[in-house]
Amino acid sequence: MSSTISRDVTVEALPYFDQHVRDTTVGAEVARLFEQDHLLPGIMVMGENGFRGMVSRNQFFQRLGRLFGIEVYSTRPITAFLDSLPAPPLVLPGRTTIQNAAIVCLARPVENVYDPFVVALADGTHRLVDFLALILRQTELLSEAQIEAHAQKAAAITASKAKSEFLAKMSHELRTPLTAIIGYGEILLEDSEAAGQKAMTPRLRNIISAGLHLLEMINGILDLSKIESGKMEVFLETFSLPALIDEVSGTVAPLMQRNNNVFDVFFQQDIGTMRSDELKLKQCLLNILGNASKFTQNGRVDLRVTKESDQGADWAVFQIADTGIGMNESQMKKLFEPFYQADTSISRRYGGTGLGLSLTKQFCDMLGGTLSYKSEIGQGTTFIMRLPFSPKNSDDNLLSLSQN
Amino acid sequence: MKKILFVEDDDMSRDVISTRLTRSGFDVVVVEDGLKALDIVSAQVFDLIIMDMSMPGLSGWEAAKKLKTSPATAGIPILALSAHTMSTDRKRALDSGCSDFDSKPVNLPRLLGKIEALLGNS
Repeated sequence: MSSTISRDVTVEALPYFDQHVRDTTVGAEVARLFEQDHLLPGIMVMGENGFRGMVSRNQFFQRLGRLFGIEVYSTRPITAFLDSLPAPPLVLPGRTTIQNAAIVCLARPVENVYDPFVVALADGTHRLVDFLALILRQTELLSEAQIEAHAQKAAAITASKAKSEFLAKMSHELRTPLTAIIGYGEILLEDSEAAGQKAMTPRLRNIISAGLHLLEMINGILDLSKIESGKMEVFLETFSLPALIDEVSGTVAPLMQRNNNVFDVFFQQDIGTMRSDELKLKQCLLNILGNASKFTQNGRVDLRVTKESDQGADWAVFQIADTGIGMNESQMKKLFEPFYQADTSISRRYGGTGLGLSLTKQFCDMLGGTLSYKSEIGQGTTFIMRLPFSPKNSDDNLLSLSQN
Repeated sequence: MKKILFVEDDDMSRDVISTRLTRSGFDVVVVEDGLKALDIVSAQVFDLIIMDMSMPGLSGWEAAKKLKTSPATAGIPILALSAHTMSTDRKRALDSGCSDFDSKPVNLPRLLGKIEALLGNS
């Protein structure tokens, strides 16, 4: 039984008793009925206009056991007993769920918390239900729900594992033909240049770069899937920040030149060493600088790296400002969504996988930092990445990142 | 000239990578699977073995284990070259006795860097 159905089970589904007497019946007769059936938890009392009340076994015998109890109640109609009760019996509509009925029953005063209760059905009839039958059913439903939740969790884990395996297999199957495409492209490029056939060069370069683009896409998808399944690990190393900045700047310098951009880098030479995941930090900077160079022409791109102290911790702040095409509000909203590029013509004109910024954002989160930006159409875009100089528990080389 | 044994079951990958290695100045011998690799190392001397891991017949992992257990071949460094690129794939290759791991498609400068490092150490 699924937990959705369990939650909908009502008190109508419980086993019930329908023993009842007229309101004129004397107490001695009621006592006789209880003695005939030792499992009977209570008896309903009917008057001329239908349901009149309920006699609980416990309450009734307790009353009879009092001084002169038998004298007072055995010869008079049962209404004498009903009228002496401090409160009317609990009557619940048939559509009440087991869960709600249990809550209401358990909220009764301690002296009659074990009393049966009455279920009023839509057709005007009444049933009497044992309190213990209600609690037993509720316990069963809770355990069913728990079993169901365990099964759902196991199914989700299996599905997630199947997805990871599928992606790993897909990656392998795509890499093998890509090895041939990129490799033959590079061999033919060498051949044609050696033979002085310059005319073929641009098209051969297109084959290679399309292959590399596809490879980048596969790597990006695998990274996102690893992050999603909590398998992406952060590997902490201590490294020189100026050396990293130099390396990254050197890598993107040709991209900046291609669009005729002025590229300036500002940082203090004594900014020192940082403890973080060097590869991920490089990937983040290359993504943002790569975007800045793509979306800016005949303009400028500045990379500023500063060290800031905030709340007792040191932060490395990387600010990448360009004078490029910029973004409007709706483009900015979707900036970090995988495969989102401001519009489909962007990827045709500017290239890119549409995964870079999404990964950059995720990596910044993993490294304990933040990524923010501001942008204006036609004015340019500025990204600010803030990362801790040293993560809190940096004794351990591997930060555990499972998000549970 | 350093002599490299290149073990790869995929025809095109074998052609592409062996051509590039030859052009980079190595004497390259190619075979298609692990068993043929074991056969040829008994007859010729190699400075380095570059080997695919998932191959039919005798896989690269099994071949690497066997090469490392025989005194005659244990000293030859093995570079695993695989299109399986998860961190577990890398670990599995190193656990089988490979000295280093690189992924396909090949980034030639990166691959040559790893080859130089292994030849320098041998």
